[in-house]
Amino acid sequence: MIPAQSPPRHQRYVVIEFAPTSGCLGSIVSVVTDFCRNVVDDQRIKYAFQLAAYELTENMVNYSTGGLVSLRVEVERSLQGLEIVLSTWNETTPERLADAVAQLETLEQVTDPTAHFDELVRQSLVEPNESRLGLGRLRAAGGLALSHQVADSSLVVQVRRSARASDEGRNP
Amino acid sequence: MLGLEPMTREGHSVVPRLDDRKLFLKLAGTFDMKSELELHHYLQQVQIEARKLSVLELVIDVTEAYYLGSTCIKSFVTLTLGLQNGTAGMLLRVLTNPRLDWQGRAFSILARLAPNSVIIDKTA
Repeated sequence: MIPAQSPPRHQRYVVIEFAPTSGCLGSIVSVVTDFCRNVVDDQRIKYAFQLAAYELTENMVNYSTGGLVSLRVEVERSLQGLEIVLSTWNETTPERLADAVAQLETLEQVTDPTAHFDELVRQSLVEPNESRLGLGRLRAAGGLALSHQVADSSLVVQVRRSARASDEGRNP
Repeated sequence: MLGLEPMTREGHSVVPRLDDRKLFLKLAGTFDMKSELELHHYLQQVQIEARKLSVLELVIDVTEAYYLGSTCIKSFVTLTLGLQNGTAGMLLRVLTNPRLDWQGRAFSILARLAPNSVIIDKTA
């Protein structure tokens, strides 16, 4: 599970636990985009997290080995303002875990996400059965920062993006 | 005569139209993991038809598409590169919705891969 936290009062978040099937995809994405729409008035942020919700949930549907996965979307406050943070948790095989970690470690360090995404696209053309573009797209097209944690066979992927403080003010 | 049928499913559709030697594809709805295989096969047929009809311009209208997964983007990349082989001079024009700014970013990869044959337009 996504690690339990002790939320301060009025912390805004939604946690969803679900069995990973493609049939739940639209509902999960709707929850995330509705949350974002109610927290910030910025279409670009809403679309960035719509993209993240789709791509990360699809990854969990495709690669989870457990019967349960979870997703958390929340607002974090910092000295710089607000951040929207989306986290996903799932169990997977050692091979998939190693592959995902390698992709994430690379993505977390690239300085030119667009050039890196273009390279991923070129590489994907020789892989007919997989796109392997989803995580790269989150940085290149979504402007999202990525991080991850591993515990045993579990992977937590976290994406975040700042929102202008002036966007604040609506309640989910 | 156009040998492509409209593809209409719950949540998404692709409607083709041939006008002179311009082939139009109108995409609408959400193209996620549930539609990626079907879209991929459809775009393979588009490539075959475009060659067969010696199309001068392929216009892909995504202004009413609300999401395209990364596998679907890859299918458009495959189409773009496929059209470059054996269809000299064919232009690929993508019509995007300026209110959905993810579209321009999503399809800009096509213009970066084939800058001389791909145009990304924003509709008014």
